[in-house]
Amino acid sequence: MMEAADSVGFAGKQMAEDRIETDVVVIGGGATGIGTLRDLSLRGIACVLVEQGGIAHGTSSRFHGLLHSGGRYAVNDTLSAKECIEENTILRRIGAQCVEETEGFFVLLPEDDPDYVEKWLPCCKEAGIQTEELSVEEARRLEPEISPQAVRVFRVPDSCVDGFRLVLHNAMSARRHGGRVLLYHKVIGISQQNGCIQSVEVVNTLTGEKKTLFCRAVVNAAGSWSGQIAALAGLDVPVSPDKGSLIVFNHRFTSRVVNRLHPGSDGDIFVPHGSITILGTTSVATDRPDDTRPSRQEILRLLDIGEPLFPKLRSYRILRAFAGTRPLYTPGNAQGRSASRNFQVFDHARDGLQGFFSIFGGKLTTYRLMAERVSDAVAAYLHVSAPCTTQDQPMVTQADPQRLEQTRRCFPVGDLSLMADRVGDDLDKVLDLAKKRTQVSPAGNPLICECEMVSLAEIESIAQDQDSHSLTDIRLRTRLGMGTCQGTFCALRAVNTMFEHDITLSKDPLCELHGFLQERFRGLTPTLWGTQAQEMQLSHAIYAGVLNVRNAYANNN
Amino acid sequence: MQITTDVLVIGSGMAGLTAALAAASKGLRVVVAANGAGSLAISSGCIDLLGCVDQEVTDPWEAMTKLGPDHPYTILGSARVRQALEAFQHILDRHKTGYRIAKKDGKNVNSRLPTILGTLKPSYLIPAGHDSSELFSAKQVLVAGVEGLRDLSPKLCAHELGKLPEFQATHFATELLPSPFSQTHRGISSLDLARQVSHPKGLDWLETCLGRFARAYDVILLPPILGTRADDQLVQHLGQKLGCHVQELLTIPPGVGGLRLREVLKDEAAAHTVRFLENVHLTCSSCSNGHCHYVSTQCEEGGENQEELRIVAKSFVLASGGILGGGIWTTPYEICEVLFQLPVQFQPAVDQRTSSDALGRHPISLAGLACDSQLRPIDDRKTCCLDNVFLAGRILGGFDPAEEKSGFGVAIATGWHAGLMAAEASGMEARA
Repeated sequence: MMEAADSVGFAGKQMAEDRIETDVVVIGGGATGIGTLRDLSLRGIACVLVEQGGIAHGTSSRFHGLLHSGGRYAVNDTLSAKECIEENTILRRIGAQCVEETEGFFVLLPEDDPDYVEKWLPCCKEAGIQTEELSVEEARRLEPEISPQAVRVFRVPDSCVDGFRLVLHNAMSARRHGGRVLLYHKVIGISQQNGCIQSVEVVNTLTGEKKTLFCRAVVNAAGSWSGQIAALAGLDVPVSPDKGSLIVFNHRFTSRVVNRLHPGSDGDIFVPHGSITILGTTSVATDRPDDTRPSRQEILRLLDIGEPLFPKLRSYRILRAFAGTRPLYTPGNAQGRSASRNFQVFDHARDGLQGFFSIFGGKLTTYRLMAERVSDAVAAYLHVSAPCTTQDQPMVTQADPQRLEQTRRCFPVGDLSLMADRVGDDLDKVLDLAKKRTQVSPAGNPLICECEMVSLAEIESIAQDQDSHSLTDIRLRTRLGMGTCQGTFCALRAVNTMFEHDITLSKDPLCELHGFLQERFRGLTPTLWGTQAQEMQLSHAIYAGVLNVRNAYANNN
Repeated sequence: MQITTDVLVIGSGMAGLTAALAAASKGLRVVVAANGAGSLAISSGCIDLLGCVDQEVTDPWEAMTKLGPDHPYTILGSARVRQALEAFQHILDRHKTGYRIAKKDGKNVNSRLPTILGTLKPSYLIPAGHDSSELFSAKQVLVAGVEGLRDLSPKLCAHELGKLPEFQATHFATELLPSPFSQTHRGISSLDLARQVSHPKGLDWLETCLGRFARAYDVILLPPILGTRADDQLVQHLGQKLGCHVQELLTIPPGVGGLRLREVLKDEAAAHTVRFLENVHLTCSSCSNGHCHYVSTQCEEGGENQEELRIVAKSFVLASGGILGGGIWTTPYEICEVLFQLPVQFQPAVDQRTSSDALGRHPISLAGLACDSQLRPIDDRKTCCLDNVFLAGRILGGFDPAEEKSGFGVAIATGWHAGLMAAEASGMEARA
C-alpha cells in the first residue's frame, strides 16, 4: 500500500493502537450502519464503525438499486409506502450524486388483475405518491421496448440509486464530522459488565491484529449478520436472511424503472444504471447471510417472469447474475414476501443488556430513517439532546462546474460530472493528481475504462486510500470493469497502467488480475449460455490461452 | 441467387482458409462463405501445435501420443497431422514469410514466447518477429512500450520476466516510446501502430525512437507493431540497423499477427481462384439420405427483403467455429450445432459447464462435434450423419485449445484434411 494522504482513508493513522475509547460502536458497514455513524456524528457523539469487509460489502451493494417511490408497497403496507416516498424525496436532495432521477412506470399487463389498479391508486394517494396515467402509446414512445400488450401505464417518482456510492458518501460525511470507520475488522466478542455494554473486540481480517473498542453503547446494524452479532452478546433477534438474485443486462433497454402493476412478486422490477439494466429480484429463504450465489434455475425463472414486460428480454446479452440477502424481520417465523419490509429498533435493555441496540429489517430506500430512529434511541440513552439533522445536509458538496471546466483538459473525457459525482470528497485530490500527471506528459492521465469513463488519476486517488486493497475495491469505487467487457480489457489496462506509474495494491499485479477475473467469472457462471458463453470463451482464450496466466502462476507459486 | 460449386467451405478462420487451400490444390472450384474473419483477427499469428498436456511440453509430436482417443490429433493420427503442417509450412515458405520452428537435438520443438504480461507461452510454428532463440541467452534486454498503448506496461512485463528462472542472469531495462500520433485521448492499439509502421513515415518514427538504443541491448522486445505484412523484412531491417534482435510480444486482440497471416492465406487462395463470399449468414441446409445438397440464407430473421442466397455444392467443409466463432450455440438447456443441427457429442451437463477457477479447465471448452477418421460428423452410435460434410477446426469437440495451446494446430491439421476429403468426395460425386 502507498502511504495514505490525510484527505482520505477512513481508518486513519490514529487507529493503529489496540485500545480505542469512544461513546458508540456501530457494527455493520452497510447503508444502515454508515447512516447511523453519520447521524450520531452529526449529533456530536463520538463513534467508531466496524465492518468485516469493505464498504457496503453486504446487502447494500447487492440489490437492484431502485430508490422506491413506495408504489410497490402502497396496497399491502401503507406505512412502508409513506416512508419510502418521504425518504425518496429526502435522498434526491441530500444524495443527488448517488441518485439518477429516472422516474418509473407501473405497467398493467393483460394477465394482471385489472381491479388491482382501483385498489392501488387510492393507496398511492393516501401515502402521498404522485401517479399519472399515460396512454400506452405515449408510454411506448418513451420506452419502446415495453410490451405492446400493456393495458395501462402509470408514472411514479421512482429513481435509481447507486447503493455503494450512497454508503461511501455517507461515510465521507460522517468522517468530516469525526466519525471513524474500521473496514476489514470483524467483531469477535462483545463484553458487558453489570448488565451494561463495556467493549467490543475486533480482529483485522487482513493482518490478524486485534483491537478492543471501549464504549458506552453498541448499535448492531449488521443486517443479515445481525443475528450472529446479537448471539455474541448472548441475545437472540428474530432476523432471517432471505436470498434475492438479480440479472445484469448489457443494455440500457429502458431509461426508466419499470414495475409490474400487481402485488409485489419475483422478477417484476427493471432498473437502469449507466449503460446496463438490472432485473430483480427472487426471494428464497436461506440460513447463511453470505449466501450470494444465484442458481441457474433462479435466473431462468427471472427471465420467464420478466419476459411479458419486455418481450425481447431473451435476446439481450446478460453480463452477470448476482445475489444478496435481505435481513428480514421475522417474528413468529414469517417467511419471504409475506414478511414485512418494515424495520425494527430493539433496545436490548429489556433483555437485560443496557446500551445494546439492534436495527434490522427495512430496505435501502429507508436506511436514513432507520438510522435516525436508532440514533434517537442511542442519543436518549446517552442523554444527548441534539436532534437528527441528516435530512437537511447534503452528504458531499456539489462540485463547482467552473472548477471542473478549468481542469477538464487534464482528463480524457469531455464531461467530468460523472467522475465528480463518483468521487465525492476526494474530488480535490483527483483533480490535483490529474494536473500533476498531465504536467509530466500531455497523455499522462489516460482513460482506463471506456464504459464508465475512469481515468488513471481517479484510480490513483483510490489506490492511495488506505482502505483500498484490491482491484475489486477500485472497481466498487469507480465501476471499472462493470460494463460490456466485464474487465477482460480494462482490468488488464488498469493493472498495466498502475504498475507503469508505480501505483501499487496489496498483491502483485498478476495476482490482482487473476482475482478480478475470478470475481467477474463467478457472476457469469449461473448464466453461461448464448453470448455470455462466447464472452467467457474469449476471456479464457486471452488469459488462459495467449497470456498463459494460470500456468505462469503454477510455475511461480 | 444460386451459386454452384464443387466444394463449399463454411467459415474463413484458420480452419476454413486451410481447407479452401487444400481443396483448391486439387484443382476444384472452391467457394468460401463466411460471416466474419474468424479467429485469425484476434490471434498472434503464432501456430500452436501442442504446448501443454497436463504440463508444458517441449516436443509436441511426442506429447501427441499421450492424448486421449477422442482428440482430433488422435483421430487423424500424427502422420496426417505432420503432413498437413508440412503442406501449410510449404505455403508460408512460398510467400517468404520467414515462419520457423525451433530445433533441439535435431527435432522440431516448441518455442517459449514472452507475452505482454511477462509470462511465457509455448508455441510451435512462429513468425520471424516472435523468434525467441536470442532471448534466452541475452544479457541485456530492453522492453519498449509506446505511450498511449495501454495493453503493455514495459515495467510490468520486465518485472514478471525477471522473476522467471530462465532470466536470472538477464538484465531488463524498460522504455516508453513517445506516441507517433498527435495527442489523442483515444486509446491506441498495436494494430494502429503496426499500420503506422508499415508506412515510411511510421518506420522513420520507430527507427528514430529505437536508434538511441542501437547496440546497447542484445534483444529489444516490442508489442506487435512491426508492420502489417507477414514477412521478415522489417525484423531483419531493424535488427541490422540496431545491431540487436528485435522481437514482438504476444498480446491481446486485435490480432496483428493473425491479420498478417490472413493476408498471406487470402493471397494464396486468390492465386487458386477461390471465391470468397463475405458477410454471409447461412442459416439453412437441405439434406436427405445422409447427404447435403445445398445451404442457404433463406431463414434469415427479418430478411423478407433480402434475396435468398443458395449455395449448391458437391461437398462441404464445415469450419464455422466453436462457441466463440458461432458454429456452436449454447442455450440454458443444451449445446447445438447451428447450421445442420448435427448432434453435439461433447456436451457437458448444464450444471457442469465450468469449474471453479476462471482460468482453469472448463468442460464447456470441450463442447463440439465428434467425427470419424474422415472428419465426417458422427452420432452417438458412431454412424456418419452426412457423407459429404467434413468438419474442421473449433466446431470439433474433445480438445481445449486454450489449455493445450493447440488451436491453430488442430485448425490446420483438420482443415487441410477436411479440404482434401471434400475434394475427393466432390470428385467422386462428379464421376458418379
